[in-house]
Order: sequence, then structure tokens, then C-alpha cells
Amino acid sequence: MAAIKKITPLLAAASSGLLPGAAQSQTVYENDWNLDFALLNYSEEDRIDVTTLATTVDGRLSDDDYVKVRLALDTMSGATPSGETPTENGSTFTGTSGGSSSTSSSSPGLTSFDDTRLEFDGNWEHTRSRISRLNYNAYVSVESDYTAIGTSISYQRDNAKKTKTWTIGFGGSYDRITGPGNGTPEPLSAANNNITNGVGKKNTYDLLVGRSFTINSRTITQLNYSISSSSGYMTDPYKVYSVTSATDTSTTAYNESRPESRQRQSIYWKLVHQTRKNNNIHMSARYYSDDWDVKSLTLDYKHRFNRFNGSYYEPQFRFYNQSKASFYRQNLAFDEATPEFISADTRLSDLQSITLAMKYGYLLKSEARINMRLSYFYQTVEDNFFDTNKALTFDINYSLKFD
Amino acid sequence: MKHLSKLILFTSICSLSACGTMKQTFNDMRKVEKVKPWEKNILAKDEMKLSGSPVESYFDSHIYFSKEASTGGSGVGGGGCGCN
Repeated sequence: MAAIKKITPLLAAASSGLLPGAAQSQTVYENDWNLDFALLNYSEEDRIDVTTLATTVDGRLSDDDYVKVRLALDTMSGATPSGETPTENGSTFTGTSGGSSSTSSSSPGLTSFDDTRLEFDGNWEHTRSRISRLNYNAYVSVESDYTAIGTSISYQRDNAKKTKTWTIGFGGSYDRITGPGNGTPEPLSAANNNITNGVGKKNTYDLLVGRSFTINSRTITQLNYSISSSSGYMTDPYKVYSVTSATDTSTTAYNESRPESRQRQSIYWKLVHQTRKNNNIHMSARYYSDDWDVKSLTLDYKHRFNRFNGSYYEPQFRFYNQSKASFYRQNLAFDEATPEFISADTRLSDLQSITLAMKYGYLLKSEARINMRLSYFYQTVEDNFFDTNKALTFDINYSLKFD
Repeated sequence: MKHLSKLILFTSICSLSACGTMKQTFNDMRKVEKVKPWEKNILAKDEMKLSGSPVESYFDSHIYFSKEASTGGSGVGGGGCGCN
């Protein structure tokens, strides 16, 4: 901050010589810091309810150093599919999912949970030269049964005209997972036997290479390729699968089992354009695949209509299509051999998601802005007892610039 | 009937106009030009950042990470969780 204050008057003095009539202008200090308060409420029909509070502070420590710090708090409650396939006789599995125990008799196939998560995320960008920057990031996320810590570093280098930028980034993270009873359940064991192992641990390493191009004075685009390698405990300690009885009138729940490694890769493309009517288009596409046989395509489109008074409205559309993991099964028949890996988690099935959203932004005064958004999320899941999921999300953020 | 004809005519004109605008926008997007430093005022705006709104990206990635099997692509780093 001190460095900025020293430089700003010098710049003002220098520019006063260039602009006629500006010689008598007062010294103007830029608002260099930004404070942002955000609130999100995510509510699924008859299932999960999440409220998130996030506070972000970002600004320049000096001409070469920019920092951003975010603190977020999630409260999550409701019910989530356990993976069990209920029969006409109801549910036999009593499970937990993240904190408190619950019975599932009133909602077969669902387990209730109640949890709180706290996350800290810090970012520091250091300008090394006129055309190169280094970005350091670190985060910690803590909830009752899951702790994640991670760090990353990325390097950006522009060409001499600053119309093209290379980005290369590396990241590493460590996750610590516990399930019911401060341990992880024995994979493939009967869920109600409560056989538990120790804490689950997972390591993930990421690499990203990206290139951005200025196409013209109104259009910029970006292309990223990223790979990620995870190893360790990848099973969800709260998910089960069902084995149907010979009479097909009841099921028994067993703890799911997933491979202990996962290699992911994705190609991501984004384009940002300002139209001749001074509206903004953000469109992106991502193709993703991994060695669990999950392949997906994500398309995202946002069209921001800018209004004369600094306000805007922005309709948004997102489409997502995913193929199932090789070991995904809704359930097993009583006479089928148990495979090494099996999961009935809806998130690993064939699924499609559509999100429709409308965002509105309003400039309160020159230093403050408020944005709000209402989103509708609709997901269809194939080959699962829970074949649809609907959610309504509302988020609002208040952003204030200050010195 | 008269009103219906007017409505169809109005809708057709609007559709053609929208088509024309979309075609023009598409042509503008792919027109490669050398950009001089003093022509970067639009590209320097907040709403033209490739990263988009950081708060919105954070919320979206958190939700989709919890509901879908795919993740990542736009960058490295960021928080993980055991979200359901």
C-alpha cells in the first residue's frame, strides 16, 4: 500500500503534463483493495440444503505483489442418496453421511447428514518482469470427517506485445478422510456389520498448460490442457451398494469399493467477446476423461447485457453430459460374483445436467457493487433409483473497493 | 387472423434480425486482427477477464464438484471437500 501511495502521485504528476488542463488537478488515489461478502443458498428438492458464507479480500501490497485471501463457511444438512436400492419393503440400511447419524426409514435410499465446513484460501501473485508473473496458492478445508490441504504454483509469460500468454501450473493436495466412527468402512463388507479400518488418505498432483490469445480488440480466447493423478483412498465411506435377495423383495447393503488411483485429463476452451452493442459473451467448453471410463462434455454460455447506469443482467446456460464409471452398478443380483470395484453413487452413473440462471448486477456507487443470481439445476441420472435431482440456488455478493 | 398475421410478421422480422446479429457477432469473434496497445481498452475491462467472476466460479465449482464426476480444466489449485 505504501508503495502504491508513493507511485500514484508521481503518475498523476507525469500525466498532468500530457493532458491539457490537467495541471491543476488534485492527486487521486486509486482504490486498490477490494472486500467482497458473498452468501449462497443451495436447496435441493427434499434433499440437501447448503448455506455458504464467503469473505474475500484482495489487493496490491506493492506494484509487483497482489494478494487475495478467502474465508468460507458452509453449513450442510439434509439427505443424500446412499447408493442403496430400496425395495417395496423399504430400506434396511441405516447410515450416516458427514457428522450426525440418522435413520432412513422415512426416505428409503437416503441418509441424512448435518455438517459444517471451514475453508481458507490464500493467493499471491508476484510480477517478475513486464511480461512474466508467478502465482502461489494454498488452501485448507476442514469438516468433521474430511480435511483437505493443497498448494499450487503457476507461471505466466506474455509475448512482447502482450497479446499471447503461456501458463504452466503445478498443484499438489493431501486429503484425510474418515467415515462413520472415525474410520473408513471395510470395502465390500456388509454395511450394518460396521467393520472399520483406519483413516483414509489421498494424494493428488495436477499439471496444467494453457495458452491465451487476443484475437482482436473485442475478443480473447484460452485453451488449457490439464492432467491430474490421484492415489490413495478414493472410496466414499458413506456410499453403499445393494445385493438383491433371491425373491427380489429385499436388499442387503454393502460398502462400496473404488480403485486406489485415478488419472484425469481435460481440454478446456474459453472465449470472451464484447459485441458491437457493448454486451459481453462468455462461452466455454470442456472435454474430460479419466481411467475410470468417465467421459464428459461441459458447455457453458453467459450473455451479459450492460445497461447505461452500470447495472447489467446476465442469462446463463450450462449443459453437462457424462458417461458412467466402468465399475458403476445400481445393484448386484444375489447370485452374481462380487467384483473388486463397485459403486452405486449417482455421481458415477450416466447423467446429464442443465443449469439455467439469471444474474443481475447493480452499481451502488463508484466503490460498491451488488450482484445476485438465481439458478435452477436439473439433473437426470440413468440406471439409478434416484433418476432426477432438482436444485434452486440463490447467491448474492456485495463488493466494496477501499484504500 | 389479422393480429396473428402481424404477430407472425413481427416474429419473422425479429428472428431474421436476431439471426443477422448472431452472424455478425460470430464473424466479429473470429476476425483475427493485430491489436495495438492503445486498442486494448475493452480487453482490460473486468467483464472481459477470462477468469470471470471469482465468487461465481468458486460457488459453481463447489456445486458441480459435489454433483458430477468431472472436475478441473480452468486452473490448478482450489479447495477440496468430501461434499455430497
